[in-house]
Amino acid sequence: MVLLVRVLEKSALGRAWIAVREEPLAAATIGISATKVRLSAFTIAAAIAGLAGCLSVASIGTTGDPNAFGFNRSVAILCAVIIGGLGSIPGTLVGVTILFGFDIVVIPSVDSWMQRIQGQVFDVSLFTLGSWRLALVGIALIVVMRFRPIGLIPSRRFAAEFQESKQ
Amino acid sequence: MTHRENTKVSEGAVLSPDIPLLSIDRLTVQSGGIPLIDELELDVSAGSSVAIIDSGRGSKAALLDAICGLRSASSGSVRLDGRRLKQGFSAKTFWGVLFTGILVGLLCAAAAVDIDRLWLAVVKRGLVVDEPFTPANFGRRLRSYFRAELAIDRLAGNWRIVTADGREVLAVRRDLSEARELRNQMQAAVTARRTGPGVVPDITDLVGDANEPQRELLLDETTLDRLAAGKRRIRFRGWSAFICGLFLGVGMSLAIWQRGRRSPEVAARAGVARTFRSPRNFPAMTVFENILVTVEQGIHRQSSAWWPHINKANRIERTEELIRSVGLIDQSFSFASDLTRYEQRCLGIARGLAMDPRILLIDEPADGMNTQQQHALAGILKDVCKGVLTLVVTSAGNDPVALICDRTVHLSPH
Repeated sequence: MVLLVRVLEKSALGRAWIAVREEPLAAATIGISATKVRLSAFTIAAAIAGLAGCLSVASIGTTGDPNAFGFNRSVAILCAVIIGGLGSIPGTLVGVTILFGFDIVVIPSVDSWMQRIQGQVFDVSLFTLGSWRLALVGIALIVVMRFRPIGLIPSRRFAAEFQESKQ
Repeated sequence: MTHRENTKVSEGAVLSPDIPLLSIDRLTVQSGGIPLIDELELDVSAGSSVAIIDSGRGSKAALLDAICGLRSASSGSVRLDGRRLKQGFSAKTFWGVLFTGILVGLLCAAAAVDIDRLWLAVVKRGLVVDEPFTPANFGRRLRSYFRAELAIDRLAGNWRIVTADGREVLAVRRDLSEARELRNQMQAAVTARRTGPGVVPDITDLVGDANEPQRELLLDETTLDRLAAGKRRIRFRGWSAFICGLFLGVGMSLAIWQRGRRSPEVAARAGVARTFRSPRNFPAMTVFENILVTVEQGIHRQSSAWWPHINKANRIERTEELIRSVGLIDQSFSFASDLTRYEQRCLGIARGLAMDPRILLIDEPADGMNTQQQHALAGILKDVCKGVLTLVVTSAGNDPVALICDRTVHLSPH
């Protein structure tokens, strides 16, 4: 899938997509039909999202749970993309790894460690990191936005655009 | 409006073909009721170059916009090679419009005949009565839905006789064969009622033993009438919705086609390229990519295939050649947004050339350039365009770029 997107980005169609996004007027004057190009982008994006949906259903085993597609999940995915870097494939992969790896690996292990410590001291567990999960994600997002607004591994293109908008 | 024309004799130009490449006939362009261009007549022959000079800002850009389809003219016409720059009504358009119409019609019909109920009747009901799902059964159930025939459904161990859409339950039986028999009898009564008076069977004939209360048909006259009208109702709904949808779809796609007839894409495909005064390159693409994308579109234009095969080595070679010709080879891989204004203008011209156009419109190349840069631009244009490409250059005065042209046209101030 990553390869497919990579190939598309480098293809004639990919360049036409970027051209239409950058400067629709100039794109039209070189004969790119914005409607067709946008439609193709939309269709391919929807197909990829559909495939992802199939895979996610296969992994969670049901489509009946409304919480599986809740607001939190959408925001988490958006956060992963922003932290990693918009418009960059490795950036997105890194963002997802950090955010969901944090969720699945780091938080449970830290929690169990904290419970052990607190159990020795207070006899009850008072504080779990798990309940502060969303706050941590929020803080990470703020830190990234403040110090590296283009994401951890931005694409060259977005870096250029960012420079341009700053000027 | 009067134009002053002065023609210079130049050596390189291809002279006097029968039809001028670009002919502008009584073109009027208005902006908010104020005429920017008033009844302009201009012929440009193939291979020649024209400088359009006007001190005002709006008129020149408006003229180029009108030629390349960004702005619509309020009257008059622009022809390239004797043909208007408008998309014709081709076979492709016809089939596209028809296809859209039929698609919208089918969607409307599906909504009108209640696609939910259709699904229920054709697929789900077959599953609950354990009927094998074969094309034959599917077709039978589909036909039966559009004939509004009664059907058998199961709910919690009971067999129910329901109308085709399953909204109305007419009778409930515990035994399947009994339910089937009753359903057939009821259907016979409904069909007879539909086919007309005179053949209405006496209901008691069908009931058989009148002492057995379960064997009653339970259909009074109003119910029978309602059921008999079901077939007509569903067919009327389906067809009327289909026809409405057809008209809607055809009308909408024709309207969209009409609006897109005179668009920049059409002009670009016909071979009109233009550059802008404020350089409109693709800022977040490198110089190389900027030109490559244009070269690719130029190849698309010349090929009739939907997705033509493009030789990669060829287009890269062509791109490099273009970059070299405008002298941007050192900036090849820097982003267009990092270029100076002069370089951006060069890039714009290279992009125009990359389309492999028949006519190139250049909007105020000298604007904002110093004398040296103006001379450099004039040199570039002279080298790459002269004698081969038809050129229309606009300018605010007699700058070096305007002076390379075969003739100049003054749009006199209003």
